[in-house]
Amino acid sequence: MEIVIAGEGEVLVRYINTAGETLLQEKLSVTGSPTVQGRRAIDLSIQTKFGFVPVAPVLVTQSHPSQRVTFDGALPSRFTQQRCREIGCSPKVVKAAVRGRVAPPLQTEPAVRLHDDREFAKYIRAVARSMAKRT
Amino acid sequence: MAKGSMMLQIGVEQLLSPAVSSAPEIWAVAVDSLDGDRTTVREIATEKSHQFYGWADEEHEFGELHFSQDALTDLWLVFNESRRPPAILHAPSHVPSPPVDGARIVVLRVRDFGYSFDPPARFVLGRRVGSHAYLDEEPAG
Repeated sequence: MEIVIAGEGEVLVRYINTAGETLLQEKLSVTGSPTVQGRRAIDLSIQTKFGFVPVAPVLVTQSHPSQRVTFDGALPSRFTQQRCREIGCSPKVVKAAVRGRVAPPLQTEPAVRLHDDREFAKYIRAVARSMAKRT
Repeated sequence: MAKGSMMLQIGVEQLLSPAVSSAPEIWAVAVDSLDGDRTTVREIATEKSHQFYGWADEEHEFGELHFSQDALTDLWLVFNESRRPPAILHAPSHVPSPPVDGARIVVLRVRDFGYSFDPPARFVLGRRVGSHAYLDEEPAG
C-alpha cells in the first residue's frame, strides 16, 4: 500500500489486526514547499509468533486538515473500512477504525516509550497564548 | 522560472507492539517539482535514532545483533527526457553538488532495513529516521 501526503505536515497511522489491536504505529512527516508530497510504501501484513497476519491502516491524526492524505489513492476512511472488512474485523472494530479511534501499541515490559505529542501540541498552544498576551 | 532556494524533509517514526516479530522496512520519499533550470544541491543529510531490545526463551538465544547508526538517504533529480537517466546524489554531502541542468522533479528518499525473527524470539522496537536536503534552482545560462 502507498500512503501519500500532499502538503506539509505529519500523519499518525496505526496498523491494526482483526481484533483491532495495533501492531505497528508510524508517524510520517514531510516538509518543503506548498507543492511537496510525502510517500510511504508498506506491506499490509506483519509477522508475529502466529505467522504473517493481515493488517489494516488507520489514519489517527493529521497535523492540519488542509493536508490531503490518501491510502492507495483512496480516502483513508474508505480504504480502512474496505481493508478492515477484507481481513475480517468485527463491525465494532470497523466503526472505530473508520473514525481513527484505535489504541496505541500495547506496552509491556520491556518497552520503548515515546512522548505523547498530543500533550506537546497543548504545550505549544499554551506558549503561543502566553506570548500573544505579552505583545 | 527557477524556483530559487528549496528545502525537502521526510521523516518516519516507527513503534512496534511486542507481539510482532518483524519490523517493516523504512521506505519513504518527499517529492517536489522543479522548473527545468539549473539545480545545485547544497546539503543532504540524514538522522537516525534506534532502540531495540530482543529476547527469546531458555533454549534459544539471540545472536549478536548490529544495527547501523545511519539510514540511507539519496536524492534523485529526474528529467523529462525518457532516455536521460536521473542524477542520483547520496548523503551525507559536504560541499555543494555540481550544477545539474534540466531536472523537473526532485525526490528525497530515506531507507532503513526491515528485519524479522522466527518465534520464540520477540523484541520491542522504536526508531526514527529522517532526512533533509537544501537545493537551489537558478536560471540556466
